[in-house]
Amino acid sequence: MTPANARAGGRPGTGANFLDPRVLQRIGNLELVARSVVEGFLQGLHRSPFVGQSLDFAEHRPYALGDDPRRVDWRVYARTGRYYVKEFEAETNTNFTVLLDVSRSMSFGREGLSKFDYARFLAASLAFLARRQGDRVGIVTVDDEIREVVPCSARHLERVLLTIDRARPENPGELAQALRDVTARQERKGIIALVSDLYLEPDELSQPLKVLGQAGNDVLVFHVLDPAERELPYEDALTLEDLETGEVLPVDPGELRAEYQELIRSHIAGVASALAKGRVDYLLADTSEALDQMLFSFLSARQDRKRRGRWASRS
Amino acid sequence: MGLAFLTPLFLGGLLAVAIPVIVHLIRRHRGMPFHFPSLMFLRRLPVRDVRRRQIRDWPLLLLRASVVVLLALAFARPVLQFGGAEEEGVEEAFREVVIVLDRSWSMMRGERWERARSSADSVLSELQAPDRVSLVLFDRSGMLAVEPTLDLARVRAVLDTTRAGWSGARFGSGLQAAATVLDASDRSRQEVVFISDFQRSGWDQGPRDRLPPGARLLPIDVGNDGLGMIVVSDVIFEHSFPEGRHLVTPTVRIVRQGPGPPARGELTLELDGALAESRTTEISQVITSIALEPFLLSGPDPVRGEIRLVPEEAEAEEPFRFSLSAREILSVLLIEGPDAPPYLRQALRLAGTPPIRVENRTSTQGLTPESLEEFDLVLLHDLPLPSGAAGAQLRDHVDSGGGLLVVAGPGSAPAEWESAWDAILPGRPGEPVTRDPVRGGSLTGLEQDHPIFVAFSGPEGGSLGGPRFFRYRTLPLADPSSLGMEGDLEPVRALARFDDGTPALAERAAGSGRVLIWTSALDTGWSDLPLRPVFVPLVREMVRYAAHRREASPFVTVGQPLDARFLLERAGLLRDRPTEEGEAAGGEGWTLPAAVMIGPGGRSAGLRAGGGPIDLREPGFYEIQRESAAPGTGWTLAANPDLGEVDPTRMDPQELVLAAQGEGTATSTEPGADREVSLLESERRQGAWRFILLAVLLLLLGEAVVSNRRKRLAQQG
Repeated sequence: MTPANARAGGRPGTGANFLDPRVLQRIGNLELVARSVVEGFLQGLHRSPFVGQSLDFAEHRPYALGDDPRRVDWRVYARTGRYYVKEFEAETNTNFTVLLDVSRSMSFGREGLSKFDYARFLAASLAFLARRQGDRVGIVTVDDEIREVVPCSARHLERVLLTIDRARPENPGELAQALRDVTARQERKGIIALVSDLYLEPDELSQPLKVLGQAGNDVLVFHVLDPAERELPYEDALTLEDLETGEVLPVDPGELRAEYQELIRSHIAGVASALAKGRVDYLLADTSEALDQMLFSFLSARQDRKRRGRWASRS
Repeated sequence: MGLAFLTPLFLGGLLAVAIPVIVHLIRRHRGMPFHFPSLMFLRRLPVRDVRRRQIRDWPLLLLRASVVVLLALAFARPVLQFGGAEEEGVEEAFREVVIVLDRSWSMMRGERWERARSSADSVLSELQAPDRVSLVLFDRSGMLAVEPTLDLARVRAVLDTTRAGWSGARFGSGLQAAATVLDASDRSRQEVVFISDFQRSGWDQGPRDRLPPGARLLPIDVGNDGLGMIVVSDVIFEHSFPEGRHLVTPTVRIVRQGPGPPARGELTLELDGALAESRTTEISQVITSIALEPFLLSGPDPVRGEIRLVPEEAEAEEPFRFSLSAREILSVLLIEGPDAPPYLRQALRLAGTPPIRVENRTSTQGLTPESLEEFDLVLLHDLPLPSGAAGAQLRDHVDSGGGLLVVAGPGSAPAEWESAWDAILPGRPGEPVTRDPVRGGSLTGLEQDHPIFVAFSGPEGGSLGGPRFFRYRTLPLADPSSLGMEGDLEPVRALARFDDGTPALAERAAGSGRVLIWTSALDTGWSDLPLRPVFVPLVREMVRYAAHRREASPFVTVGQPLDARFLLERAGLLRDRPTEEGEAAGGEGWTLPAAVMIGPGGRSAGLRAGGGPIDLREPGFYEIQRESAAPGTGWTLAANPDLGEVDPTRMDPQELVLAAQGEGTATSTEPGADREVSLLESERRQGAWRFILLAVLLLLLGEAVVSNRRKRLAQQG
């Protein structure tokens, strides 16, 4: 389904209308964009997609070594004779940090909407969604280093949106290093949403994310790609210039397309696989897809996956 | 049929077809690279040099390459070439051959004529059956002797009966006649076989002396025989009038050409058939001038003379013939003050044609009809016009056909002229105008076609703009309308003007005579004209014109067109005005009926004033008389062969080829040696290059459209 007919016809089976990214691009106010995106799909989501320690009870799970004994639900123990601990829905005490890749490769876009525009909308929407759920929101922009940092705070949504609005993809990217720097600087665990085109090897990516995960962070990765860089749709021989390095390479897309697509598919699969191993949620965000639809699908799937994971771990 | 090129060097431009290929590849590589997020995956793919291997923009490349190829072809000027008649069977592929044969006097020398005929016969033998041939004979004029025909026997028959003549050669006449044939031809292969001895004197190229584009000139030189020659080339007659007698002293000019020791020959002068003088002379120089003894010219009848040179060891040439008559003398009454400078007198007394007999007077007093009757012209030099009876006598003289030339110098006092002169003068001169003493004024407004100035119109005629005039008189021209002369043709007109517009020379037809006024002086007081080379000819031309006398030479040249009216006038058979006798005879009213011209062989032909030019074909004496008159009672005209033919200087035939052929026509000295079609003619017929350039224009438009479209697509990408 193309963005156009997605916008016009909506998502089958949900009755919801999704927003064409190119329409969002014409909205100058980033908060309005985020609001438009989030409020649309929240109507069908019903529950917070981000689950953590909060005051609202969520479920029981078996006691494990290292659990705080204070969280053992003694009433369940009284009825069943087994130790269960309570888990609560996250509400206001979670840090939600957007890691936005602002390297030059993000400026690519073949049909008017660049990956960076799409990533900005996505980051703003995530921040808006998190803040709407009461989380503290912050942002870190990175290319070959950390460019700008907005610490997580319940009052920082506007700063986050402003930072996103001002960001420009001007420098070459070195995401692995930037992630390592973020890891080193992180003080409090939370939810970290990485929005990037991930032009690095899967292992280079998974390693720092794995560290973040091990530090108690819930890491989400949004892999933003333009259809053109997945398909190499050019017909004529041409010279390509690397946005990051400036390197030029004359190519004949007709002859290289199949091999290139295979390499891209392998790369995506490799990234997804590597992140899955590190318990990192991964979403391939195609810039031709409606943003709200994409978020809805992703968060719904994440909800289900969490639920299934709990039940699986419970059994 | 094949393809040929007029300028094949331009085909080298085909190499430029590589330019769009190179540009195509280079531009694609260097121009407008596409931004791409990362080449990390593409770099992993095998390296392929697409710059040299792949051309994706084939349509654009082909368009650009086609433009280059077509441009090269257009500049190479392609033409369709017919390989031969048997190949195509197209009539246009066969030749149109014009044989141009020189039959001038010089072709009579040695065996030139036989060689020329033999050459023409060889050309005819080489022709193929479908080739068309025509024959042009030329001397001073060209004549189409045989129109284009396939019948070679007819051409041979004309050649058998043709002989060289006595006229001079003018190659342009033959070329023009040939060009006329070729212009009318529908055949693309056109050749002119030009057979001549190629005397330099025959070539004076005119603007029309060219063959049509594509026609080839194939010269055949029959004059390269090294023949020597000793011939009388000219005779100058000096007239003197001692003691009232008219003596003529002929000076003979002999031209000797060719190697060898000094030649001896016998030079004889015959007058009216009687030997007047004979002398043996040695001729060692190229040009030798010999003054013969003077002889007396008396009576109105002309004297026939023949000067003959008989070399001891060479063939005798035609005698030089002349005819002199006392009637040919122009008599001038020069009236000038006793202290007048000699410039004008000397100019009149110099030898020339017509010979001028000058009688001087120092005053206008005592003029009588009898004293004026013997003069054709009265020249009043820097004196006032006479008044009273003398003035009336002079005006009557003019009215009856005499001429009057007034030089209105400082002593002319025009203000004192009696008013009766205004009836015949072109105007009354005014006060002198003084010009800058250094630069002076000059003659500018000349009636170039007027008989006085025709002699000065050519490049060798001298410049009338050179003399400086420091003083001259104004001359308000008489108004013809006020004189009731509307019907006359320009009775008053300025023939020359100074640079400020003041008339320098004005004329007026008065009765049967003419009056001319020169508004400056003919001495060095008011101008430097007498010191200029143009002074003598200008004076003589003014005198001759004012005296109503046409130039009368003692002889004419064979082939020289002659005006029948002029001949009749000289023979005294032409009246100044229409006569009832002439009109009654159904003529133009100007001639006596039944005038005839009897040629050297006794052949006679009618002569009418309006009968067009007479072309004498052979040398000798011609007698013009009434048909009914007894033989020998008419006026005699002497005709000599064209003396220009005695100049044996030869020209390179290739010079004629280059001058006569159009640009781009192949040259060859071998007639019929190859049978290539005239490329220029083919090009003219097809004009393929024009269409090619049109195609180039269309391709360029297409290229612009395609290129812009691809550029837009690229920018969108």
